[in-house]
Formats: sequence, C-alpha cells, structure tokens
Amino acid sequence: MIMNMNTQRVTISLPVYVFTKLKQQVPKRKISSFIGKIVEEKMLSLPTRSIDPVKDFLSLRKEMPSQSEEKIKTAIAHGRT
Amino acid sequence: MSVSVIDASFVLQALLGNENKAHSFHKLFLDSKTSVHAPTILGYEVTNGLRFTLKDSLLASQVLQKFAELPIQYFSFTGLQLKQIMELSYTLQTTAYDTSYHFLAHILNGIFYTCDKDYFDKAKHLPGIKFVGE
Repeated sequence: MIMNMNTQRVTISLPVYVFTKLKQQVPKRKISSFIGKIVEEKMLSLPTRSIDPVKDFLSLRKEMPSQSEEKIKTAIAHGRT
Repeated sequence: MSVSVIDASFVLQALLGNENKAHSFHKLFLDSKTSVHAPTILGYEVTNGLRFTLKDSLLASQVLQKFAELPIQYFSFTGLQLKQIMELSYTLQTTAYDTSYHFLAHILNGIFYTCDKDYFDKAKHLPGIKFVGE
C-alpha cells in the first residue's frame, strides 16, 4: 500500500478536464494514493526500457521495404500540395 | 556539448534507405558529446512519411513507437521565430517546414543533418548544415 511506504512529494500538471473528473470520482484526501496506485499499475505493465533505443529503432530495418530517396521525400510531403 | 538537429529525411532514410545512412544515424546518437534536437514538426513528418510508405498499418505503428523512444529533444517555435523561418524560406525558396530544421540548428548553435539534397543545395551556402550522403 502506497500510504504505508516512504513517499516523495511531487508537483504534477494535469489537464483541467482530467482533474475535474478526478475530483468528481475520488475523495479529496485520497487523490494522492489514487494517482500513486494508477502510476504503479501502469509502470508494472510497461516493458523494460531499452538500453539502446536507436539500435531498437534501426533493428526494424529488416522488416522495411527498401525505398528510394525520392520516394521517401515524396511520402514525407504527401498531401501538402 | 554540441547540438545536432535532424530532419525526417534522415530519420526515414536511416530506416528505409541504405545501410550507410543507418550507420551515420546511429553514430550521431551514440556520440556522448552531442545532443539531438528537432522541431516538433519532425513527429508529423515521420508519421506522414510512414503513412505513405508502409502499407501495413501495424508495422507503421510499431515503427512510430520505437521512433518515440529515440532520445530527441523537441522544440516549439515562438511566433517571432516562425516569422524568421518564413523570411528565410522566402530567401532560400524552400518550404517553411524544411527551413525550420535549419533555423533550429542556427538558434541552438548546432549542425543540421539532412538527407534532403534539394534543401541542402539551396541552403548549403549558409553555415550549420551537413548533407548525409551515400
């Protein structure tokens, strides 16, 4: 339980509509523990962060169709003109 | 710490182009003496580039997720800076999109790396730009 552990006070910013909904759903004195639980659950479901995200990105090359420079340039600007 | 700015042509050619560009891309990020930056438009351009290159939307989503994890610092321009980008793009006869990357390198005192030969040819007389070729 988060409230029984050491805690760190932080300042976070939430979109107004999210905070409004939060206030409607959760009692005022329980907001911290509610957010703590949500973050903890989310963190547990996240994959472990890669040590080399660039290598991970480039590892997708083997699944990619090879494209000419001109085709890539056209794709980037597609729909602009 | 030096500053490098990258554009969508470099990102997508590292992914879809020849091996040398992928190598240059990786090398740039591995350099501990440089930080990689881009205007926020990079995300839109990479997304559009993937949208009109890959037929498989799931694969495109997978690429985009990996792209989002790259250590790139994004920059939003002020109104005054957008005006300067527009003026420069008139002078260079380039798009404001392409010019924004070069302008960012200029204000951060860094180097803009691009695989866009057309832009490079129009702007190479200015400092702070490098063409990533073959």
